[in-house]
Amino acid sequence: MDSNQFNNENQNQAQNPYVQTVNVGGEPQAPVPPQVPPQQPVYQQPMYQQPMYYQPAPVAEDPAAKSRLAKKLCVISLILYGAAPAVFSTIAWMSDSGLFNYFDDAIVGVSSLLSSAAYIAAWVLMIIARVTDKKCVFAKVLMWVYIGMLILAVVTVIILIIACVEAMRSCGDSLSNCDILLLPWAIR
Amino acid sequence: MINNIPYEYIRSLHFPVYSVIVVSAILVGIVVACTIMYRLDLRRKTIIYTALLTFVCIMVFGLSMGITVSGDIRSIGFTGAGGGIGVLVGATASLFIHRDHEAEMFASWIITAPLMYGISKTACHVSGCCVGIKYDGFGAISYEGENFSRFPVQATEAALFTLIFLIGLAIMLFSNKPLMTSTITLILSIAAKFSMDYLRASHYESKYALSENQILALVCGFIGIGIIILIDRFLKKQRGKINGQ
Repeated sequence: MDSNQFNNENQNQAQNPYVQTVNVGGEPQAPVPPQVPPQQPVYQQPMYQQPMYYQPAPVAEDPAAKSRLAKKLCVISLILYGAAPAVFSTIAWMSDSGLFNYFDDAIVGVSSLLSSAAYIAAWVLMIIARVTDKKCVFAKVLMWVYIGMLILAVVTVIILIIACVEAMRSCGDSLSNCDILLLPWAIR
Repeated sequence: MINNIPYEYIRSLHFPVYSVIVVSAILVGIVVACTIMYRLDLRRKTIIYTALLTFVCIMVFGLSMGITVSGDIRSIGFTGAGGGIGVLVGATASLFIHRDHEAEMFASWIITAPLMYGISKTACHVSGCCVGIKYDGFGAISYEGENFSRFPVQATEAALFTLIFLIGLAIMLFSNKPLMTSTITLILSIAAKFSMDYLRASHYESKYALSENQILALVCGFIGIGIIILIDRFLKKQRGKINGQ
């Protein structure tokens, strides 16, 4: 066992072209070139001896198709972002003011759910477009517009709630004492 | 100073901190979830887009769920159940978009949801909405304009949900089974929400045996468990495809 190891080490040293062997007291020897065993090319080997290669399924890597897909997604996203909530909230508002007379609560509920779903779908499509094509400028612009609008909306909601609470607090016991004119729908 | 009242007395605040605390609770939760995801070796792109989408979903569903349930535009306001549905929708959608450590990503959001809820409950405790039942014992509180004391249900909920978050985090760190962790956390949160509703004053005003909050909590729980089962099946199918090739 030990002697084998020793032999192997010696052989390796002799075959390795990058290890300089120094003979003390003798002339420097040129490194021995590695001996490559004669081997047949793969295509000349018989079939059963050829190594098996796993070929992954071909993936469609077409940047032009990807950018087209990303642009399409961005357009759909923009439509969903702008049009759908506007339509649904108009329906909700009309229904809330008693235009349809029947199923008003259900119409308001369903349209608010649909408009929020459309808003979320717009975000999802924008993110899919960003992930599909990293360099798509349309998707980048959409993302920053959406983020800016979101920050504005959050700040607006916070200010609105603070303003409502302040307005209601100024009323005290009865609505006739209010400092601030409340929105007409707040008094019914 | 009020000295003759034995329980803690909460004044109505001059500056309304409710919405500020709720938004900051959501932001704190998102930071915690991102930290967990970062520790679980998710890609940076995944973390950023997931956080963005989940924040949008929480805000939109949290604000619109009140209108959807009641069918009245005037009932707009932030609801916890809507926020929970928002977390579920956002995490599930980004799971299918990014396909990167799916189960871990989903679990980190489900674990963090109780923390967000717990922190936002301190806002309710301070501002005096969703008050508890009449109670005169340890830790009783009284709000301005009332001459009786109430059970501190919001403070209890805040502590309980923070505890659930810690339990979920511990299970996640020690077991390394994300879907099991999210199931346990979800069931614990739903059970806590369902049982704590019996201590709220509004529970005894409802016409039915279960209050609106409890029904919403049950709906959230069923949706969440359905999503977890779906994700489990999806991941098993993916694994089968990879092994079968």
